[in-house]
Amino acid sequence: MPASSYRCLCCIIPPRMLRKLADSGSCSPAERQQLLDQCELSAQLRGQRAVYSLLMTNLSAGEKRRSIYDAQHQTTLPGKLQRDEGAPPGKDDAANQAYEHAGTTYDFFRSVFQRNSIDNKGLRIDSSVHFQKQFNNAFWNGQQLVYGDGDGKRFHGFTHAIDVVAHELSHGITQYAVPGGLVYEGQSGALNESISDVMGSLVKQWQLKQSVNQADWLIGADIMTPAVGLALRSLADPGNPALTWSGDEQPKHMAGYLPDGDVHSNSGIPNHAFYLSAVALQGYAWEKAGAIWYRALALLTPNASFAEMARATEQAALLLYGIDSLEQRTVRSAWQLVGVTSPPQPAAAAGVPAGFPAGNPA
Amino acid sequence: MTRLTLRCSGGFTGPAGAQTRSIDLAQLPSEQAQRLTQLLDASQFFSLPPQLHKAAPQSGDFLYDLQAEQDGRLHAVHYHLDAAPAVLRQLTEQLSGYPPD
Repeated sequence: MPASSYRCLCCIIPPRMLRKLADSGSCSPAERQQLLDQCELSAQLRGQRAVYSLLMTNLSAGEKRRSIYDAQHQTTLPGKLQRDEGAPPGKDDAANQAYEHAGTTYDFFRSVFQRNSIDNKGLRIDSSVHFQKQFNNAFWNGQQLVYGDGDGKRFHGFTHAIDVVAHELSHGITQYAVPGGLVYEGQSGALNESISDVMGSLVKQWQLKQSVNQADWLIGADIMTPAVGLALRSLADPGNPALTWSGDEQPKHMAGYLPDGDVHSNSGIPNHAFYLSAVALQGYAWEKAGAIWYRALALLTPNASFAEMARATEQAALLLYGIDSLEQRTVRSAWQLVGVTSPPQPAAAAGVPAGFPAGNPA
Repeated sequence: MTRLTLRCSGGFTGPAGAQTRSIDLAQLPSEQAQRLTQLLDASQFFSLPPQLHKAAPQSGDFLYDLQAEQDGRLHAVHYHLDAAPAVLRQLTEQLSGYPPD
């Protein structure tokens, strides 16, 4: 994560043991006082936790639990509490947008995929706005969402775009839904990025009630200043700067795969595979293609490759729609179209084992 | 003469949002310049390997490139914050407090 600090209060030594140590007679008066002070602090913290639990009893698991903090342009997280669940909007637009969009994203996962928050156990959704000065970014730090304000030259804020919020929250979901998470480098890193782009786009389409033909399939539209571009990425046509920005180098086919490329670049390939699947299946993208992609998460491993994602989505389509269903065939074709998998060779169909060139058996 | 250039990328924007901070210590108030010099020396920056990568990075792990130019020496390190020695992390945090270019 960017240079930042996160305050954590945890007590590992039980108070009974602290008292026993203090009363053991093996320590000096000063050390004894220190141990007793520590006992008192532990008791205070336990009290705070008890009060906190009482405050939270009116929010059962399965309800949204959002908290928005103001990092006040510093790097210490989470910052000063601005708005808690159920509180009315305040004067800070960024805080209000982060709150509303996190709520819509929660609702999307709850109603479309029956997922209860980031961890599927009702985890609190904490967000900090106004991180650092002129920070051109947003991120999930493993515990919470963080948003900068942009530098005003290239980016003018992030919280007003629901797909940005949904993208970041989906990194949290990937962390929990993929057993062991997805390592953020190489192809697994590009998949991690792609899954967040896919879910970010789906949440936006769901909010706007757009079909696959109505959606713009853009990520980060309106977060860049006009001088830089229109959007950050396009699932419909990755790497097309006319739709996005001048530096867009995303490949949409394995022929353009960048071996040492950034995870934000190579994610264009799985992004396009999703787009092709969704458009072929028609209707609302979250109903079939989205359900297949979401179901595939649990079938992945931390270092999953694009080919493994292709297998996982094909398997997910089978589980959801049956063997050789239209949905399974569509997903299979989409991964072939982006060059991740190959169409079956006639020789293979005739029984030659996979891996042997046609007409040249070993 | 000491010049530090820190580039940071990752998060939602990736390369599009990468930010660079170029700091010429001669242009800073002496107290700040002294603090940064101390951290640079304490980190033994010129002896650090060119890459310090975390074993299994996550989406919140940003990538940093720090280049230092000092008295004719030039060295650059590409790193994740979690894989950097504590002093380099402190130096990164200090530099991140300056406005980007």
